Amino acid sequence: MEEADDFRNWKELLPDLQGEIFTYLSLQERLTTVPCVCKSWASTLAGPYCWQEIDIEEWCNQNEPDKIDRMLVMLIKRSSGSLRKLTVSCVQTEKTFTFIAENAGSLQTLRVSRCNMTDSIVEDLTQKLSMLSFLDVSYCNKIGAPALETIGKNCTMLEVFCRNMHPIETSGKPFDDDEAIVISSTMPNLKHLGIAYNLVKTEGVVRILSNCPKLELLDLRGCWGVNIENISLEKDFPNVKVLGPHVIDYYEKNGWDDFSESSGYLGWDFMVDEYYDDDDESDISDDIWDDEEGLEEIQFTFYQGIGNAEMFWRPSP
Amino acid sequence: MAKTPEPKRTISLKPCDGDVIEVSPMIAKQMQTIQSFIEDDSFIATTTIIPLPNVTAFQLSKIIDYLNYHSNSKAVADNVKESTKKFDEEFLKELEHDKLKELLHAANYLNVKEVLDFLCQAVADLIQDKSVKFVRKFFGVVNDYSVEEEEDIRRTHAWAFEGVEED
Repeated sequence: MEEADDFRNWKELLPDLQGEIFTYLSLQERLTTVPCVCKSWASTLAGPYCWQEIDIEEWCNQNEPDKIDRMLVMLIKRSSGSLRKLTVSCVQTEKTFTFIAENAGSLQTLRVSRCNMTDSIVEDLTQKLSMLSFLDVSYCNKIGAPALETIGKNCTMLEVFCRNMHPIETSGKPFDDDEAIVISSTMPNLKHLGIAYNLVKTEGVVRILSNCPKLELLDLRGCWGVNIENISLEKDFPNVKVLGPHVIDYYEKNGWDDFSESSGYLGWDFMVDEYYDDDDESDISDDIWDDEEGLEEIQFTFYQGIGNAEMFWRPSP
Repeated sequence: MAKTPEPKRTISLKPCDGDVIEVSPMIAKQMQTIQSFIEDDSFIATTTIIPLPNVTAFQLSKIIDYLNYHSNSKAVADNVKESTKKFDEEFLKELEHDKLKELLHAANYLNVKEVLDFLCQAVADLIQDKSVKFVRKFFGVVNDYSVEEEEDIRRTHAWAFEGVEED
């Protein structure tokens, strides 16, 4: 590499910046390449600074549960109590959740989708994690209204809550408002709520809209029990953007032309990201986005990791 | 509907090696360090010149270029992604490697998050997917491990990535 000489004085880079740069690397790069370079790189990396935000969702999807447990324990130890944001999936064992609860009390954002949590694990977890403002428990099939209730009671600062379900899990089951009632009665500070493919009914949605006055975004895609025409959104809840229930509505309304470029569920993920990008830039230009950490990276994604999800794209049940 | 236009108000910044550069308050606002000057009671927009002893004229104008481009591009809806990508690539191309590091320090001093994030990402991209040897050479880092120590470190986290397909 010809330019190598120009880089000689990179040693003078401020340690803070060095640590900041490492946070932009992939997990593998951070754990294999960086510590091998030299002792000072290794010590920068070993410090908590590089591990205040941990996102290993992708890695989790490729690895066995025991490896996931081992990795989580290792990384959370490194964060030394300064962990702000944790994104994982497929965590299976109770003792790992206990470890998170005991060692990550500073968490503000927690995304634990597709995890094997029970109502009682959620209760233990949220008792310790009362600082959470962003919680994603999508596709956690074992939990229900009781878990949501403890979340609402313990995490009083919760502003973003994701409880999206996979269509396979909810299709054919009777509609009921249990979760919606709990959400509406225990999470009054919500700004964003994602309950795609939830079994909620129209009444449940009205309760949520009425009891969560700060709500800006409600994702109801695939909630076939909701008859949105029966709610006068514009009149009664003018500040809330509602997505769904009909999945197709979204891109028709917004004239998404480039959809053909990407296919299947990946395309959908991309669209949702776009939606939020636009949001950031236009409607909500106020300082709320700068002031409140965590809100800026909101995404509600669908069918992640499920290859044949296209078949569920139909807008009607 | 005729309204008197608001008086033109710019912030004067003086880099260490050049003339004063005027920036709009909107751009200045994104530089946290400047913002704290502006919020000071003794600050008078029309007369105060903010000295920047740690920032060169070149660095300052690069940072302003970046902020200007990115704040304008947000207003235009068409092909934003394409053209922004192109701008970012060109922006980096104009920086020799040494200048990239210096600009990183300048952005850090001015505490301008958008530029800092972008540059950190750019440097990370240089490291991503490279061998340890390459990274050392690239950054002029001397290996201070013994062979055994290095092997130990290499082995420590190998378990986490065994059996994972390489991208």
